[in-house]
Amino acid sequence: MKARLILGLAAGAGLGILYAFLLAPLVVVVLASLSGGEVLAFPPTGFSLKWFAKFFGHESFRNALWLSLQVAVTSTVVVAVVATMAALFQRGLSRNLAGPFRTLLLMPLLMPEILTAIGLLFFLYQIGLGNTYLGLQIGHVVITLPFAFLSITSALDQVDPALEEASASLGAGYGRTTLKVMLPLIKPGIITGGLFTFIVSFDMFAMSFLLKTVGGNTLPLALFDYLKYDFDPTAAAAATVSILFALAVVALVEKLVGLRRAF
Amino acid sequence: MAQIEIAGLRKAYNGAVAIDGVDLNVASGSFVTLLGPSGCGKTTTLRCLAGFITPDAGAIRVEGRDIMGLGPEGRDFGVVFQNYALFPHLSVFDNVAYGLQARRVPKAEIAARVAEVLGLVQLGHLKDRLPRALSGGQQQRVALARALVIRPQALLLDEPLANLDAKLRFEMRWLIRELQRKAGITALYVTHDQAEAMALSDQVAVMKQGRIAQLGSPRDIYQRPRERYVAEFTGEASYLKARIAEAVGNGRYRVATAGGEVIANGPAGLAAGSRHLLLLRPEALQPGAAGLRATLQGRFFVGSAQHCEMRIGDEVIKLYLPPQAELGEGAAVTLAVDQDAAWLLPDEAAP
Ligand SMILES: Nc1ncnc2c1ncn2[C@@H]1O[C@H](COP(=O)(O)OP(=O)(O)OP(=O)(O)O)[C@@H](O)[C@H]1O
Ligand SMILES: [Mg+2]
Repeated sequence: MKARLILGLAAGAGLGILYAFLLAPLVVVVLASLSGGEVLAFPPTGFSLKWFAKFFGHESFRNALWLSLQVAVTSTVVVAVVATMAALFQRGLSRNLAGPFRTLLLMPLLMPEILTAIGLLFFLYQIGLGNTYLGLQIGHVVITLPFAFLSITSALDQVDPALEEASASLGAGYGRTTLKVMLPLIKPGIITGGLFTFIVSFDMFAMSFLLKTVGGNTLPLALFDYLKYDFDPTAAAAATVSILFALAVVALVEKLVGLRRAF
Repeated sequence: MAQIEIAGLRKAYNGAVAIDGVDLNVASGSFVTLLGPSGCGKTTTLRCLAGFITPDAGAIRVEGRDIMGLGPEGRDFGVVFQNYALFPHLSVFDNVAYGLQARRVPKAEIAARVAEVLGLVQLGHLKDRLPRALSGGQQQRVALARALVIRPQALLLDEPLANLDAKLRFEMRWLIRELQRKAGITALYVTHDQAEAMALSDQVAVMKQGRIAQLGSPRDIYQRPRERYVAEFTGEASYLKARIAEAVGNGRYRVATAGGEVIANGPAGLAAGSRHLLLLRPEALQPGAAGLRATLQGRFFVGSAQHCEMRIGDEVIKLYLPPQAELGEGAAVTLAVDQDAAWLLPDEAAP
């Protein structure tokens, strides 16, 4: 009884510390962005929304936010489709082919992002896609694909193979079985994968840093550039906007399907 | 409704033979059961037929037409799975309608046919429920309805009752039999429960290590098994070593055992003097004036009867006595043998 109490308290304390470390930066950044003072500092001095005004008034930030959104949304759509097809394809493979296929697809996850980015940079220049929006987009897809693939395959693994057999025996071909049985059953996995894709792409740094077009900054890059010369709370406002977008996406998914089902 | 012919079906998984030359003829509209112990290849046979796996060798013909080239979606069999395999995201109605939609049946007709078949399995009132909100028995009835509504050439059922409790299993047995009869549909059923096989089937195929050991009516395989394995698998059985004294009719013999001479049936043409096993079902024996001399070795009371072990020489046989019979252990009893239920088997131990 006593041991249980102590264990419970210890677990609670551990969790508290963990949450503190996770949430403290968020709180600090958000509060700092609302500061009335002139430098990026914590605790904030006074209250104002002027840094948000400055952020949105800044053309390079506006362009960067727009580009980030564009890249992240495109990545999400492309990755959701490609990862779903890859996961369905892997399910059809025999066991000794499925393993290598999976490893190959997860490769970008195993390698440091910066190495993948450098490799891709050389490759894209070779095939004439260096310094293009398409190149940047490809980089984002490469990095985010494994996240979505993992989430979708784990949903797919939960699907009883007998359901496919039942569908086939009832006269449905592969197309109908996929559309009417498999996709509805793995929808939560696809949505979760898409969610990860959006957030990872929206926050991606190293890959964007190497593959960006001249003058085409994503939001994290714009923020980095800004911090090189200025150190006012606009940076915090930019970060806060970033956080708000991530939250907005999560909220949207929650509204659409309910996160409890998605996870 | 269709006649199905399986010939020389063989399948090995990574070198381990699962079925080793299955031959089976299922007459149109009949109910045939594959009966056998775990691992004898029943499911493998059924799955080859359904088209879920490809056999290594053999032929499958429906109404004389080879269907080996067709995938499961082209075979037109209604399959009922042990774990039901209902689509968890679809309502009862949509589960049952699935096969009709795949066949592009008009909407109005789908509604009518689904309603009709749900009525047959008494689930009309639950048509909007999701499968997870149904009991096991209800789920099984949906699975049955889903397979029946497409009016398939044949119904393939793999231990459909194995996950139900005893009482429900009993009710479902009748339902399956009744629906199959009403629809006049050919059915191939898999089970390892001999009582279920007997109750449901026109023909029972007893399987042994990837082959069919015997195919016959339930009465046939119970009363006239071809080998001890079949006798053992189809019900309670005892054996006595027996030597044929003489033939007393076509397929009828006087045989000598350790407990005396009795009349028994057997395959035609057994030679006098040859050694066999005399199969005695417990209900074939009753205390009587003349017959086998035995002593009561032990008994226990099960309510509807007393199960007794009788010693004859150095052999032991089983027998059921009425609950009220009063016999002390060690009592000498003469057992009259019902000749129609005593059957001669080849003695596999004899040279
Ligand atoms: N997918 C598989 N891979 C390898 N071996 C298999 C596979 N499926 C079945 N087997 C083997 O084939 C043999 C026959 O299996 P099958 O499933 O047909 O038996 P069964 O008669 O249906 O048994 P049960 O009553 O337990 O369902 C068994 O020895 C089994 O281990
Ligand atoms: Mg089986």
